[in-house]
Amino acid sequence: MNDRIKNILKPVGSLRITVVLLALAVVLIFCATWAQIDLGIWAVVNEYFRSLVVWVPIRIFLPRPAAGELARFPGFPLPGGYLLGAAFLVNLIAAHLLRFKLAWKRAGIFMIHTAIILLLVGEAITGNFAVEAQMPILEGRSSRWAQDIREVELAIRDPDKDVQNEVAIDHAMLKPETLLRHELLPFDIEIERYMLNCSVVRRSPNDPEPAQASRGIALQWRVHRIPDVTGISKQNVNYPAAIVRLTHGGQSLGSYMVTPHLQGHDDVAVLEQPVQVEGKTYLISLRFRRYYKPYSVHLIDFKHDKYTGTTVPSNYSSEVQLVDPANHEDRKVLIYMNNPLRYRGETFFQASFLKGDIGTVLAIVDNPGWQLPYLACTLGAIGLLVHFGITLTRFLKRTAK
Amino acid sequence: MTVHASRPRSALAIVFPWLVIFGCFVYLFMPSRQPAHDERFDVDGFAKLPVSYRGRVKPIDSVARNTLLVLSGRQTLEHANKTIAATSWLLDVLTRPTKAADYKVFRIDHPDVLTMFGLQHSPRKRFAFSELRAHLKDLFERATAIDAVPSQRRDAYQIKVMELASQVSVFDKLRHYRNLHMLPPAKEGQDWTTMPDARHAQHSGALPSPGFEVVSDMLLAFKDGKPQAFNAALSNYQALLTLRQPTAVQKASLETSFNRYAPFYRGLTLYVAAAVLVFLSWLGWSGPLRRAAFFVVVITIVLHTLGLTTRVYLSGRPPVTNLYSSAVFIGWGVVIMCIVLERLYRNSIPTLLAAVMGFLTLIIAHHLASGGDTMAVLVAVLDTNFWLATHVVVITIGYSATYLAGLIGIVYIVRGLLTNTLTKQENRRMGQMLYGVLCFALLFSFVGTILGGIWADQSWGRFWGWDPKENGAVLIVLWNALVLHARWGGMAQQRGLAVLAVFGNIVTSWSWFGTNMLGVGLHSYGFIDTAVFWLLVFIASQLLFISLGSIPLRYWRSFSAPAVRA
Amino acid sequence: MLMLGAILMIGCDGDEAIRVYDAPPDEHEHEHEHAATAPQPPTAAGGSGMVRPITWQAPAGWQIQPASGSATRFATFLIGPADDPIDLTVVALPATNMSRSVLANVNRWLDQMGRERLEDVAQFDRYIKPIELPGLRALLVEIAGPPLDDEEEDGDPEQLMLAAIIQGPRLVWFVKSVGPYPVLAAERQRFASFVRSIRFPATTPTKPPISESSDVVTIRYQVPDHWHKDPQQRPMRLVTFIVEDGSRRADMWISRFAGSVGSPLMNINRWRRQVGLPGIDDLGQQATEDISAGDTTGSMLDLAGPKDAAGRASRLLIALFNTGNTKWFFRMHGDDQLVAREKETFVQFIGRVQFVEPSRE
Repeated sequence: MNDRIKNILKPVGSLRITVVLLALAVVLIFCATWAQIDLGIWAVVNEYFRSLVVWVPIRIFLPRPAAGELARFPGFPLPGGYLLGAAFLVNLIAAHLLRFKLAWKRAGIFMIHTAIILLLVGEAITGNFAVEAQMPILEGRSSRWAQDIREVELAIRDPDKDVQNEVAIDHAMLKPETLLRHELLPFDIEIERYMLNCSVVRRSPNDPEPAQASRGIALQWRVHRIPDVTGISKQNVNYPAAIVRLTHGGQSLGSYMVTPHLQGHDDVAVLEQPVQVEGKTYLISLRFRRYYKPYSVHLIDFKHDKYTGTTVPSNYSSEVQLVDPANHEDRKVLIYMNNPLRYRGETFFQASFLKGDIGTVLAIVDNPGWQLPYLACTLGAIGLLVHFGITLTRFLKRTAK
Repeated sequence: MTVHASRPRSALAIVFPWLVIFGCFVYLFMPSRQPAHDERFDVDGFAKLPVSYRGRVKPIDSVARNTLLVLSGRQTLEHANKTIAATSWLLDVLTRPTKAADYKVFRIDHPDVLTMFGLQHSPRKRFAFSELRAHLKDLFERATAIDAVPSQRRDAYQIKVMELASQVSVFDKLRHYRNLHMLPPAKEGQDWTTMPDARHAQHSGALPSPGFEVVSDMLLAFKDGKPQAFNAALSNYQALLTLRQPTAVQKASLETSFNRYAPFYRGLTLYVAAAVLVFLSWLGWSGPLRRAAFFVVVITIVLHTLGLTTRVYLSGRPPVTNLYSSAVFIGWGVVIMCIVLERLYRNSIPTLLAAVMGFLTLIIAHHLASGGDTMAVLVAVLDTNFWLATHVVVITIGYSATYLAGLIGIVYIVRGLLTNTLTKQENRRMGQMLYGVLCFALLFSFVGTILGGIWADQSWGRFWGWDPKENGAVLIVLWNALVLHARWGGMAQQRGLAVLAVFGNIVTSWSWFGTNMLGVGLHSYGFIDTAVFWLLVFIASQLLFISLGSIPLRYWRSFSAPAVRA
Repeated sequence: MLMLGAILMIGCDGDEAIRVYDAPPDEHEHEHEHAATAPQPPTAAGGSGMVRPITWQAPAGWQIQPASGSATRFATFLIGPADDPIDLTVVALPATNMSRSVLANVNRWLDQMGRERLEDVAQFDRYIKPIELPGLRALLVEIAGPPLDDEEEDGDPEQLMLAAIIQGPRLVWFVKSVGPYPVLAAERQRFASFVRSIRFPATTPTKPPISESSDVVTIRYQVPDHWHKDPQQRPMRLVTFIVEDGSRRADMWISRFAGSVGSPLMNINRWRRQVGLPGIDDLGQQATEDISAGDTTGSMLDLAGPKDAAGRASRLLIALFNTGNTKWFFRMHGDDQLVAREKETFVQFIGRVQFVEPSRE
C-alpha cells in the first residue's frame, strides 16, 4: 500500500481510537439512560442517538426535587449517535485497510466487523425511514388506517367527496399565534393556543369559567395543560389540544377546541366537529397522524386470556380478515404475541387492546431496513464462532503441550 | 502454585478429601428439619394437595410458604415460643380464623405506619391481624388516596402503606377462600374453582365441583379437632385428585419436597464450606485441602444443577424467567466456568471464585425470593419458551462471564498488591485466564443482546428501542469489547486488564439491577431503597479495588521484591 | 400579535407541511352532531357501540373489565387495592315485578351475606338509603356480613356489600360489590358518587310504525324514465318496476331482509333454477361481478338461462348488498334480450342508490 495513504490511515485506524470511541459510546448510552427519566424515550433517542452532538446536563444524575423548577446546572457536550457511528465506521474501515490482509485467519474478525457495520447502518435507516403506526379496530369492524401516536395533525374532511376529501396539516405548523391559509384549506385557521399534553374534564352545566371556544365540544369539555410525558411515566403518549379560530372571507366561523382525547361515535376514531362554510359542512379534528392503507383489516375476534384467578394476561390474539381487492387478497390471519403478520413490506403486531377488550390495537411497522439486523446477526454469530473457535483451539493446543 | 508431588502424601492427605465428600453427602441426605406439628393430623398430606393460586397449579405448601414469606418475611411462624410451619398456619387461617388472627405474621417496620395502628412503642417487628383490625379502615382509606400518586413518586411511607394494604388484602382473601382455586376442573378445558364459587353453584342447583363435599368435610374436621375424620377425608380427596389430575398431584408432591429440601439453601452452606477450605489451604496443607474444596464445589454444582432442572420441570419454563432465577443461573454459570478454569489452571483461584460467587448469588436470590412465588406466571409477551431459552439464557451466561472476569481481576489485584504470590508465571497465567473469560463474555453478551433484538423485532417490530434494559445490555457488550481492544492494542497488560475487568462488574450490576431502579430511588430525599443502598455499596467496593489496582506496579508486593520462583 | 406564518405552504415545497388524503368512506357514519365520549369508554360488548343505554363517571382507579358475554351483566369493574382487587358489577334486568321489588332484591342480598331475611319494607331502613338521581328512582344498599367466626363478637364485620338499585327507563339496573369490610368501607364515597353520576341518555324517539321502522336502513334512488312503478305492493318486495319493449317484459324489484336469508349456495341455486340453469355444488363455480351502490360495494350475478322449447330465454340479474344487519336484493328478471339491453341502466340505477341509516341519539 502507498506509504502516504498508510501514514494517513495509521492514526485514523488505530486501536487507541477504537478504545476511545468505545468509551465515548459507553458514556453516551449511560447518560442517555439517565436523561430518559425526564424526557420521553423518543425525545432522548432524537437528542442523543440521532444527532451529531448532544449537551448533557449534570442535573440528570441528581435527585429530583418533588416539584418545582430544576436548578440550572452546567453540563458537558458529547458526540451524538450519528457522529460516533460515523467515526466507528471510518475507524473500522481504516483499520481493515491498514492491518488486515484477506487471510482466512482474519475471516472471523472481518465478519464480526461487517456485522457491526450492518447494525449501525440498519439503525440509521430505521431512524430515518421507519414508520410505526397503530391500528385500533373494534371487534366486528374493520379499519383502513393506522395512526402514529407520536405526532398529530389537524385534519379537515369534506364529507361530500369521495377522493381527495381530507386535508391534514402537520403538527410542525401548529404553533400558537399562527395563521394557516392555503388554497387547499376551505377556511383560514388561526391557532390561538396549542398545548402539547393535556387532560380533558367535563364542564359542569353552571361552570362559571367561560368555555375555551365558541362552538363544538368546547361547550361540554375543557382541557387542562399537564406535564409532558417522560420515559418512565405511565402514560406513554402526549395528548395535545388546540384552540383554533376559523374564518372565511373575512367572516368568522367560530372557534373550536380540538384534541385527540375525545373519540367519536365508534370510540376509536377521533371526534370530528362540523364547521359550516356557506351552507356546506366540513369536519375538523386534531388527531394522531394517519396513514391510510390500500387494504382493510377486519377484526373478527379479539382474545384476552388471563391466568386463572388473576389479572395477569396469558395471551393476546386477534383474528383478522385482511382484504386487499387490488391484490386479490382476502384471507383470515391470526395475529398474536410474538407472531406477527408480514404483508406488503409491513409487519403487523399484536400490540395492545382497547379498554374493556372491545377491540384490538395492532402495531404496523414499515421498516425498510428490517432485514439488516438479521443479516448482521447471522454474519456476526458465524464470525464470532469462527474467530473464537480458532483462538480456543490454538489456546488448547498450547496448554496441552 | 501448583503442587508437585515432591514427597509421598500421607495417608490422611489421601483420605481427607474423601472424608469431606462423605461429610457432604451426609449433609445432603439429612432430612430437612420441619417444625413440630400435631402428629395426629396428616398435615403433610394436606400440604401436598395441588391447588390453583395466582394462575399456577402448585401445592398448598407453596401457597402457605409464599404467602407467609410475603406477609412476614419468613417461611415459618413463631408463636408462643414454638415454631409453626407455613401449612399449619394456613390451615388455621382457613379453619380457625379467630386463632389465626392472633398469629403475628404482619411485618411492619416503618414508624409512621406503626403509629397508624397505635403500635409505635412496640419492640416487636411482627404483628397480628387482631392488632391491626381496629384501624384497617384508615389503612385502606389512605391506600386509596395513595393509589392516585404515580408509583415512582411515592415516598417510603406511601410505599409501605400500599404494601401493607396489599398484604392485608391477600390475607383476607385467603381467609374467605377467595382466589384460592382449590377444586380441580370438572371437565377438560375448565378452570379450577374456588370453594365459594362451588358452594354458590351447589345452592343454585348446578352440579357442584368435584371434591367440594370432601374438602368441606376435611376442613370442618380440622376445625372441630377430629383427626380421624380429617385424615379420612384427606385420603378420599387424594384419591379423587390422583384420578382427575395425576400430573398435578405428582408435580405438587415434588414441589413440596423441593420446598422442604431447600436445595439452594444447602448449596449455600456447601459453597461456604468450600470457601473456608480454600482459605485454610493457603495457611498450609494445601494439597488435600484444595482437592477437598474442589470436590465440594463439584458436588454443590450437581446439587445446583438438580435444583435448576427441577424448577424447569415444575414451572415448564426455561431456567431464567425472572430476577430470582437469573441470580440462581448466574451463580450456576460462574461455577461451571470456574470448574473448567480450575481444571486448566489448577491454582485454586477458580475454586475460590466458584465458592464465593455461588454463595453470593444464592444469597442474592434468597433475598429476591421475598416477593412470593419464584415460579410465578409470566405475562403474555414473555410467554415464549423459545426466546426465554435462547436470548435470556445466553445473555445471562454473558453476565456471569463478565462477573467472573471481574472477580478474577479482584483476585489478581489483591494477590499482586498484598501478597508476593503473583510470580511472573502466575502473572501470565492469570492474565490468560482473564483474557479467556473476557472473550467468552464478549461472545455470549454480544450474541445474547442480538438475540434480544431479534425477539423485540418479532414481538413489536423494533429491533432496538433504546430503553434502559436494552441500553444496559449493550453497555456490557461495549465494555467487554473495549477491554479486549485495549489488550489487542497493547494499551493494557495483565494489570490493566484486571482493573478494566473489575469495572465490568459495575457495568454488569448497573445493567442487572440499576436499570430497574431508575426513577425510583431518585424521587425521595433521605430515603434510599435497600436495594439501591446495597448496589451503591457494591459499586463503592469495586471502585476501591480499581483504585487499589491503579497503584503503580512498583508498590505492589509481588513486583517490588525479587520474583519468587515457585 | 398575529404572525402570518405558513403562507409558504403554497406550492410543492414543505411537502410534509400539508397533506391530502383519500379518506375511505366511513361505513357507520351518522349525522354529525353527536355526543363526544369520555376518554374511558364504558360500553359493553362491541356491536354498534353507538347507543349507550347508560353512562357514568367512573372514579379514578376503578378498572373496567372486558365484557363477559353474559346477557345481563353489563359491565364489571375492579376496585380496591391494585394487586388484589374486588369485583364491582353492573347488571341490567328487564323490569318485572321481581326485579323491581326492593324487598325481593334486598332479601336476596341479605341471604348472600348470611343475614336474616326481612318481612316488610319498613325494616329496611338500616340497610337502604334513597339517593338523588335526576328523574329516577334509586336506592343505595349497604349490608355488613356477620363476623367470620361465631365466637368473635368484636367491632368490625368481616365483609361488606355496597349495592344500588336504579330504575332505568326500560331496565332495572343493579350495581353491586362485595368484599372485605375495610376495603369496601373505604370505597363508600366513591361508590356513592359513581351511582350519582349514572345517567340514561334519551332513547331514540319513536317513529310512526310504518314498514320503514326507525331501526332499519332506508334507501333513496332515482328511477329511470322508462321504468314504470308497479302500483301493486307485492309481498316481500319494497318496490317493483316494470320494463316493457313490445312483447318483451322484465320486472325489476328491490327487497330487503334483516337477519338470515339462507345459505348463499342455496339461494344461488334457486335463482339459477328460475332461469333454467342447472345447480352448482360450489360457490366458486358461480361468477360474480362487483357493483357499487353509492358508497357501498356489493356483488352482482348475471344468470342467462338456455332457450326453452318456444325459443325464448330468460335472464336474471341480481345485485346483493349488505348494510350492517340488513341485506338488500336488487333483481331484474325477464326476457333475455331485454334484460341484456337494460343491464347498463340497471347498473347505473343501482350506482345512484343511497342507503340511509336512521339518525340515533
